[in-house]
Amino acid sequence: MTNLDPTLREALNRIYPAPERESDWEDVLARTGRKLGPEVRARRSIAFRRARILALAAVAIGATSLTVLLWPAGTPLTERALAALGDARVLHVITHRPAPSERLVEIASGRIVIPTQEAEIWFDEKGQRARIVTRVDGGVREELLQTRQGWFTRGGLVYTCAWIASHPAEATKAGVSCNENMQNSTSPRSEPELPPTVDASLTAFARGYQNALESGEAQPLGEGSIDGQRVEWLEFRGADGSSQRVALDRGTLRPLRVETSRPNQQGSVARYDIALIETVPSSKADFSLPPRRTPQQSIGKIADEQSIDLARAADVLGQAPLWLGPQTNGLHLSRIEAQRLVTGYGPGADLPSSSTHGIELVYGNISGGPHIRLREATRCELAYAWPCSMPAPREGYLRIDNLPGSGGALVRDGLYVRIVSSLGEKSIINAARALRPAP
Amino acid sequence: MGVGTVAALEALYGDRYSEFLRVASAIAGDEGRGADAVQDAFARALISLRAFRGDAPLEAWVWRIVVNAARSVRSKEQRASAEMPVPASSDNYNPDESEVRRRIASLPDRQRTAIFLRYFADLDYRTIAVVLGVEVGTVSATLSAAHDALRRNLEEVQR
Repeated sequence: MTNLDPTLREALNRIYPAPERESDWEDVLARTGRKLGPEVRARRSIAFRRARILALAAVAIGATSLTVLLWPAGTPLTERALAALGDARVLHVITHRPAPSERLVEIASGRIVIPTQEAEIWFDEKGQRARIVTRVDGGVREELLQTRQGWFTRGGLVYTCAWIASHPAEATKAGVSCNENMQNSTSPRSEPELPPTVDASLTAFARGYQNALESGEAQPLGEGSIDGQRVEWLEFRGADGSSQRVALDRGTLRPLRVETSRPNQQGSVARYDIALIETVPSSKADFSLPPRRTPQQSIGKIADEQSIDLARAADVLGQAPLWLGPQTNGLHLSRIEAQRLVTGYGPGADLPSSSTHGIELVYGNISGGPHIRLREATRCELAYAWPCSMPAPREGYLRIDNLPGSGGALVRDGLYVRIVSSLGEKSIINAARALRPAP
Repeated sequence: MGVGTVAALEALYGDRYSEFLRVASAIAGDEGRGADAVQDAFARALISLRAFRGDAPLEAWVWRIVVNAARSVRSKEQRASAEMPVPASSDNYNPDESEVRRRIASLPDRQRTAIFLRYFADLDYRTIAVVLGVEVGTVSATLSAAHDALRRNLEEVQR
């Protein structure tokens, strides 16, 4: 094959510089209409009809008030919904739902806030790949890329059975196996990677919605309303047997909410609000590798501790500690300790353990009596039940963790503070409100 | 032809638009005409999807339509102006470059198109053969001849 000549390439690049014009698929669709003669029009394919519907939809979405006028009378709801979705290769969905295991408390008011958990999904069924970014309260919690070559998170490669089968030596070294006896074969073999999955309910929706509209399996259920907004309900059965009820905005015909339920889980309905749903060409989708996060803490422990006074506590932290005064809730400040905190990063991180100092203030009696403990450090410390993978709550908010005995966590004046109380959740919130710099 | 092909066509358009535009602009003579040719070509491809038999890759089939559309634009221009359009340079006027430009414009049509497809779209010989409607061996000979002609010119210019 004739090689590309760099000198010629350079000359061509100078003479024919790369154009900067943007692509415009809607214009392509619009041009299909101008090119049809009457004899061709009579032979329109299904594909072409869909293309025209898309062109109309593009206009309709731009001018919602005209939607009804633009759709030919009698166009079925499913066809209009399909047009609103588009038929590009990659499904892009952003869902919102209350974070299942977290609560935030606005410290000043005591108001409980359930953070929103957002899932952003890029789903390419044909290419067998998916990318899911989970955010809580705006902060990224996890990213997962699923491909035929393997699954990847911010922590790196996910050991799937397909990967282990094709990398037996590396898997043995990493101590992972899909066999009960934990033995891997000695020679690589090919095993299909699991199909991309999202949350099980969302997977059924992501996979099924477009197909159900195309095949006509989606059944209109009639009108309804969501939070005062008029919607059209559709229902289809997911490939996993789940019932998928989809509420469509009456103007745009885009899904606003999905409710999924399974026959063997009576009464259990998973609800997702759809903040965005569209199909995009693969060039506009994001299937990038999740960025590697800083090495994940694997062990956090209090290596040693010694009693100190308040003045020394400021030296340990490099700033004034936060306290509740000499007493709170009738509990006296009984102890202040400087604690040496050791963090290990696990064998894969190739990092030595690190060591820093934190302080603990104890009010009351921790040997069986009522007490409140404050643990403070200048960074997220696993020894204080604060993994760095968990973003800090916004200033002014207290995160109540659902783990027993873990209390609440907040950041104030640059200090990562954990409050643990034997007196219940209200005392934790009161303590968060009463925190102030020690003199 | 199924819906999947419409999606494939749209994906191809999204993935390779800049290459389609660059080749079409080079053939048609400027970016505006090239863009028009690409848009028309994809509209034509959408309408003709049923005619796509799948005996060549979809991309090669689309490239052929794009190249034909761009040639058609150029032919109309030539009829109007009675000369081959020479692309305007974005840089300052350079007499040497102008000579290279003229030499490219004076290449036989097949050679010029093959060069554009190879350098701007990175197409392999098999795909270029489908686009030009020739045998793979002919592509090799065509590109070789075009290279020789242009290299000679570049050497003269650089001397």
